Amino acid sequence: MSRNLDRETRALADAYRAGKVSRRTFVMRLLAAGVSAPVIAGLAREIAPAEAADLKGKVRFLVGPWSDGEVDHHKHIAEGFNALHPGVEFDFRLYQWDTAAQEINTSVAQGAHDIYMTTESSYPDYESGNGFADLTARVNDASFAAEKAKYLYWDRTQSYGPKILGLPISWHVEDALFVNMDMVNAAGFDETFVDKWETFHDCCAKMTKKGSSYGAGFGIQIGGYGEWYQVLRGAGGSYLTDDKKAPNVNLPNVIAATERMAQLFKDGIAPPLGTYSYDAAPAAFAAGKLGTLTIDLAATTALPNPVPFKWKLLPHPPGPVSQVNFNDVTYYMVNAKSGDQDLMWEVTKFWTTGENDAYWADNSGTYPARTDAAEKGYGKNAAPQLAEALPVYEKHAVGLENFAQWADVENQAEAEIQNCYAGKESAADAVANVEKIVKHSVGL
Amino acid sequence: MVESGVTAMAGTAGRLRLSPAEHRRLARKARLKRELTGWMFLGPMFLCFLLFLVIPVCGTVWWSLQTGNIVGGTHFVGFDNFAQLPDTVGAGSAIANTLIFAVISVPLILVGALAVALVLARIEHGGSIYRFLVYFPVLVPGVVAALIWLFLTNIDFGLFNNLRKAFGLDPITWLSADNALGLLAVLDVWRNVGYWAMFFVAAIIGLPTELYQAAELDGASVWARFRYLTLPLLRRIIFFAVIVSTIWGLQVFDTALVLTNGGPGTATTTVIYRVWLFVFQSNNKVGFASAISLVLIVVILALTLVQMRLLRDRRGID
Repeated sequence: MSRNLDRETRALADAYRAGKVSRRTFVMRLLAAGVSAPVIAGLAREIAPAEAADLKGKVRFLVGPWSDGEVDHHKHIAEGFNALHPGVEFDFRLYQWDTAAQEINTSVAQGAHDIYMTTESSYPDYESGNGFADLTARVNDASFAAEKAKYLYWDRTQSYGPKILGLPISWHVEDALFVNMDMVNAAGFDETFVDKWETFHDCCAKMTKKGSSYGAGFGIQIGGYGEWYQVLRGAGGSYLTDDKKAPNVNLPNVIAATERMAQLFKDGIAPPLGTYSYDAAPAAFAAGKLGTLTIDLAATTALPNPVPFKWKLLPHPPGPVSQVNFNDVTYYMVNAKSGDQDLMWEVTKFWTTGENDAYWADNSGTYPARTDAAEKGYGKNAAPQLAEALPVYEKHAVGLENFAQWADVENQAEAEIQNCYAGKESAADAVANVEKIVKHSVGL
Repeated sequence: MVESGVTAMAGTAGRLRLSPAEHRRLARKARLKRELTGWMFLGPMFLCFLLFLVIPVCGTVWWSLQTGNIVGGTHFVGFDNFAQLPDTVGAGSAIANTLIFAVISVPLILVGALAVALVLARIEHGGSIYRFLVYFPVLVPGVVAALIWLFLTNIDFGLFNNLRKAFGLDPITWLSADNALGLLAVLDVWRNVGYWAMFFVAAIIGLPTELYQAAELDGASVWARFRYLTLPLLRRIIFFAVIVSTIWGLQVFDTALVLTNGGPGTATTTVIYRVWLFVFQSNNKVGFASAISLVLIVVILALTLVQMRLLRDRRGID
């Protein structure tokens, strides 16, 4: 150990002994300083032997691939946990985004994993089922009150029903607008081009050069997730009315807003659907082939560092009724079938501490769901554009609607609207079909 | 000493004759042993047949009368799921996509396989190497094949567009709404030609050579020999290939999932893909998906019967 590291370790150990820092903080700071997990485990045992080695078992995670280093990030967090509890083994498996719901549902039913990274889109469905453990009593326990206060989005989480099924880890913008500001400026515009649809259209048209670049990179998000939903909400629509008794889709404003989106494809300003996949699009943006790119914020981790031009994250242009930014919350949930629920709770808490949430979100291209994330290290690795854009995204934030078939409707609706973008049907027909989908899925 | 039940007959000293009752007992025992042995061999197959075909089909019939999901439970709705089928958004396009896919891929596979087989059957040296090369795509799992083709069709660096650029043509979006289904069919052809080519090669090698020698002596052209000898003689195997490849064609799923995710829009959403979506992406449509599956089974059965009738010879054989 170098002299500096030795000094730092001693200072931390003293602070820990004196009760000035928590055990977790002690371990995570040592890890951050580069001390190996076995050494930390030894130190922790030496300082407070009674607290160590109390938990035993195996914890199997099923998580989403936010970045190429997803599993490594979890292994890093696991090292910290093992420094405190060496008797716990971990296994990390990834699901794929486009089959996430299926993989999670099947795994939960089979009891194949213990802790799941889940998205808010399925929360209403999970709330009505029994697959995930009800964490309400644990979350509302007095001993957890101080920690609970540091998590964000409890109101949103509790709006889905009486059961709290997970601890939030991120607030994610699903359809951010990545903008190549060099191309925008070269087209004679500045970042205010997104303030009006007309200027957005003109700017994208000017950024389009036949055979080399497209101005509007739409239709790339997997399954179009949330892309048209923003259009729907921006046009004053929603899948269901507030009382959830009727669809609220087939409105003149919604048809008009869909038609103008389709016009981007007809005019050749947006690449034909299928030109770029979700994985290939960030590289196309970085190569200057797309002036703007609509994709979720995790794409920031797929961009080269540095990006060879000035770029920004901006909101989408306003719809006929309002400006909308669709986002959702991500959670860790525990399989109700898992044997040692106390162990799972300890692990879930550890994975969502300020340090760990900050570390994971910082490397995953998303916003953490903790009030203390910034002071715990968030922002070291994340693209600075993320922090810059947060206030704007929060200002226009719209989440999903609270009914169990929302994700089902969303999947089918986006595909139906893409038929319109591909010129296979009119905007009016596509919107009418979405209304039918809502009725059929919800059973109206 | 003669044991009970066995009689020494007069005039046939040294020969033992079984009483009729004992003969029947032993015959019964031998038959039972033979049957048990037979069932021991057949048992695993019947078990698999029961587990993986009969029970799932019965389950599908039961599910088709329910609504809800596999995990959360269901309730009986009678024939509602079937009644809703015609009005379902996307049902028509899924059926159309599936039929178009089969109509493109099945003839191409069979014609291609026959052509390849005719060439392979004439190779005298190193034939096994060529047969392996032709068969190789069959060994590639659908998911891997789709991933390979994802790279081949990339707009910027894919092989297909590089070839177009080499000929001075503009790159095209291979996975666009207009092209994706055709491309999936071509991928299916690439994967399956080798499989059926091996069947045809085996059949062609086994054809009686004296017929061809006689035809040659009679002055029959190559085309005439193919038209009036090879094709009729291969009719049974072609008949089998048409039926099986059509059934497989109507069940396309894995490549559509990986290569295009059913899109763009619903351009490559096939019937099975739609079933999969309803089972795994919906929280209350397992019954509906089962109803679609049953309809597909009936359609496949009907198509197979039609094909059998059309392909059957005049004497009604095959």
